[in-house]
Amino acid sequence: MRIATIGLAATALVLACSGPLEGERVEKPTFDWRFVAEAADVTFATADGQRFRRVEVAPLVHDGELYLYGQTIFSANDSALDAVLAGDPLEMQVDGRVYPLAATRLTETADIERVLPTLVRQGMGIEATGIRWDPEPERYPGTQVRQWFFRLRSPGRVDD
Amino acid sequence: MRWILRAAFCFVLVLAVAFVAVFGGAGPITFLPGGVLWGETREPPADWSFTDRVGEIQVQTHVGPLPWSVTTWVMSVDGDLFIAANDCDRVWTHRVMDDPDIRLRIDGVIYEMQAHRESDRSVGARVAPVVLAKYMGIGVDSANWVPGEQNGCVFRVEPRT
Repeated sequence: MRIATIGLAATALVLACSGPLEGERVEKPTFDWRFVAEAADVTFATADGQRFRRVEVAPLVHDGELYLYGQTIFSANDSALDAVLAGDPLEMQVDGRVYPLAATRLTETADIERVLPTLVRQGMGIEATGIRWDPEPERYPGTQVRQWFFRLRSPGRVDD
Repeated sequence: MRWILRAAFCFVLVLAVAFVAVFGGAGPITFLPGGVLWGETREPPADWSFTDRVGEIQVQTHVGPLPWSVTTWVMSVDGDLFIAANDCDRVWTHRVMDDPDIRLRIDGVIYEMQAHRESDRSVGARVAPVVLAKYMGIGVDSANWVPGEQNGCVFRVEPRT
């Protein structure tokens, strides 16, 4: 009986830390995400409520466009990241509102380099010149953290 | 009543095992700090460039009489060695600032060293490009930390005098 009680409590704790994001849902497409850069607390989850656990994620806003940057030093996979990589929708909670999002992974160097200045300046507090994507530098073999870049947009947004 | 006593006993036992494991030499694991770093001790080399292929190292300081070790990043820049913390308000960074004697474990080898915090902008200009290239895969022509916009800190590591 005690084991069952402890098990139930643990399950309740896990469920309390997952589940869909709560807040006013914003279904109208958003085109300018600059307010996200100013927000103090931004939370991401998959549409079915999975949180990123092993991957540290952060929003990047560049020219009003929204991006998701993820990194981890862990070798194990993250179920939320796996879901997003598989094309599952994402949700973002900002200031009590929940925004449904579609994520597109960036793999082209030019696309990634577009957001690197924002990552370096805002994410790391570094000012730099000549920023370029060099994921496997010859001098530093295999020392890089695992990283992912996604462009996030409101689902169904039609503008290009 | 007996199950409460058994639970309390198990709790104390787990705490004791954890204490011995951590401070007895289990070493740090990812974000979790550890205790004594074990390994063959060698004299510090003149050239630290071999650390270019080493992602993470362990640093041992102490909290009171207890050893305290963490995992962190290491940068070799033109013959000088640096370690960094992305948050300078950590137990180990405060301890190193109080007592610069540290032990480094790199690839299983222990080096007895001293670490001193660097706040000179010229050092930042040398170390920031290495951090970006080595850990983020970001090449730059030049880089430096923006004053007051990050919480991290850098320590220069040198042989003990």
